[in-house]
Amino acid sequence: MNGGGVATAELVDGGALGRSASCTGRRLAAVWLPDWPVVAAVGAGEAPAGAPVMVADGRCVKAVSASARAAGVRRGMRRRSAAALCPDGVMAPADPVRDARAFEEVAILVHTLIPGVELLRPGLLLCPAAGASRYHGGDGELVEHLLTQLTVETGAEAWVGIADGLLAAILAARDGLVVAPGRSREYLDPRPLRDLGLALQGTAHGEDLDVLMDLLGRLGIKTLGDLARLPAGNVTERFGSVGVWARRLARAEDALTAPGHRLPMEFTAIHQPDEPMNRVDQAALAARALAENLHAQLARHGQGYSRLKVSATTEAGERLERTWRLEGVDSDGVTDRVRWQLEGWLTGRSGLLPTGALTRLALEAQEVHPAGVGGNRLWGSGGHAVTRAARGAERVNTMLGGRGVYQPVVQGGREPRGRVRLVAWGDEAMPLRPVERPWPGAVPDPAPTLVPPQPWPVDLLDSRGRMVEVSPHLELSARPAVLDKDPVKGWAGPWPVLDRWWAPEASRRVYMQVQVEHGAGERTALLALEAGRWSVEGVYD
Amino acid sequence: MAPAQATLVKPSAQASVLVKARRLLETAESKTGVTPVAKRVECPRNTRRDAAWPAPGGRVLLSPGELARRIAPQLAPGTVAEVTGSLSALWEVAAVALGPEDWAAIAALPKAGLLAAAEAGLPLSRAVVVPDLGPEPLRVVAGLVDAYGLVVAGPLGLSAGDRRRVEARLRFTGGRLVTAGRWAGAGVVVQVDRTRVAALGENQGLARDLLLECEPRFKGGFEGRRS
Repeated sequence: MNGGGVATAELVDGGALGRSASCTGRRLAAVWLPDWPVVAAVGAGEAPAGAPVMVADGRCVKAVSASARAAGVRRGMRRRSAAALCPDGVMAPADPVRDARAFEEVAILVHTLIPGVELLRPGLLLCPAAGASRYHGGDGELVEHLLTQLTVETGAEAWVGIADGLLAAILAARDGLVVAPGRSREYLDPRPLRDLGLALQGTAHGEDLDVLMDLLGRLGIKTLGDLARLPAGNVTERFGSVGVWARRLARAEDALTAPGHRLPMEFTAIHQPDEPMNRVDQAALAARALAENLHAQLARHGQGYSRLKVSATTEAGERLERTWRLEGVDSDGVTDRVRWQLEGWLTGRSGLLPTGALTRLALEAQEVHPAGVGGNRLWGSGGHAVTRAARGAERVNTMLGGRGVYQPVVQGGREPRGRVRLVAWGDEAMPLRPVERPWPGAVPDPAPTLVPPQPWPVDLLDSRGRMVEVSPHLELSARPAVLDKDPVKGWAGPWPVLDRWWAPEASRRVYMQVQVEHGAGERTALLALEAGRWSVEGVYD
Repeated sequence: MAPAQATLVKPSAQASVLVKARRLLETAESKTGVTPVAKRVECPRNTRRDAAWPAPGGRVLLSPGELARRIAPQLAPGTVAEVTGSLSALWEVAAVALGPEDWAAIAALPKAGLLAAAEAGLPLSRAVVVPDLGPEPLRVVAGLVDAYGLVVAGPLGLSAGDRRRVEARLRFTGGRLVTAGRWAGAGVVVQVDRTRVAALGENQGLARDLLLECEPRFKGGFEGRRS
């Protein structure tokens, strides 16, 4: 289990080497608990301890245990393929809140050994190593000490690494290495570019980073060293903020604390609930409000930040504090982390945590830097109206019990009802079906202005009062004369729509536009014939 | 899928041929002095967005786009516009009422065809939808007015006092409210009495251009007759 014990690799040094000028990153110790979601799932009783475990969300496998990995299951695999490879494996649901809650225990433990712990994601944390190494008598001793404590107290497999700068520390932890001060550039230089992804696994920057790495790869930049040697100005020009960020990491620097960018400004958001909070849903609401408040303050000053300190005071007067590192985390990610933290404190277990309710919450932005250097503005790129709209949506959503506000997204499809998808506010507004496909048989422009959520059934009759039918060759059985008592003036169609003809739930539908006299005026409706029944799918008014 | 495509294209192609044929027939008829037996519907096809015709009773027959164009100057910040009788008119008015940076909230319109709204020019990427306002519509509407430059609403069922409150808030925030319900005291009133679509005939073309028979009224003057 003691994976980090191999802290005697070639780069461990006796301190003789001078500190190279290019390594400006802080000395960091990274603690990595591999497959943390699996550990958390087992700890929560969602999976048996001995069996191969796979943690998966609706789409794919998110984490696997060592025995499942031995069977060939990998992260990112489809659930079905994973189950086929490892039939006796147990599939546990992905739950970031559970993971964060369980990780809180580890964070507290490390915090008692080294103050100033920063959480990167559940399963990975960082702490400043310089002081602690001196105290313990060297980096190697510090690693030993950390590993012993972690193994004894949590029983989980842990890896520890020490190096300069964020990326070097994370990679060192994965290798179980101590990289000598000033030699992190050397350590990073030959490593492949995709190691950058390790620092960012599971964050929103991920996609941008994939694009960047793909592009760099095609430009012949294969290693972190190649990236580090690119001129800073050109990187900014060509690759934007993600590029700058990646280059800093590759240079073994701290991601966003470029010298000279530190600002004396303080950004804090404080929430003092009227009555102490002890429920998780209260915490979730407070988390959103606080994160928004903080972002609004930062946005006013055009600032971003890369560390977030969450602190709370309990009824008993106890002070709780935790710092999260926010590399590539977007605003929703921030809210999530605050929520995880608060929920972790509120549902704390093993007597480590307060039983009392929380009376005061505060968020503090640390490592503040000008937005755009790598910071994310709240809700994308918009300005004031966007922030205002987002805040309004949150507020109204709260009034309506959390599920009342939707964002419309135009998507492809044939029936008018499915052409606009309503996405609950806060979820990703993505179309389910691409718009640009041809969609043969789709209702032509203009779209009906009234689209009932449920089509209402109608009778389309001929002059003798019989229902109008449509033959397989799209011939009408008779001229339509009456639509629900209104005389028919004209019609267009019918035209057929075959939805998912290959699937068992295939439906054959026929559309027709019918114009009727209605009262003093006229109306035009879109009718559908399905399974022998006519119904109104839309009205043009 | 080929047959479906063909059927889809057929009506309009057929229609253009028919229009041509009819035109030829008409010229022939007028030359010989014969009058047609049945008068066809006087609703022109392929209406342009700025089309307008006089209609019986001093009303006008407008395309929704033209209606919105005429109303646009009246939609000062803080205005309430009542647009009843036609959702296409509602969407067009909403589209011109939305400022270039503003966001829109579409409230209490569960049956609205949002694709039609997008086609009218209301960008859905800057819109949120609140289909049901819950038990306290005033609070929700007030919240939306505070946060959105434009609120497009269905019938809200507010009392006169509540309406005054919403109006005061609109004036304060400089937002606009376009409602499909009755709103006594609205600055702009558009009541669409009839909507007309070019006659479909017997499968001679798809529903295409909508015309509205309406009478727009503004505070401080009747402008419906201007053309």
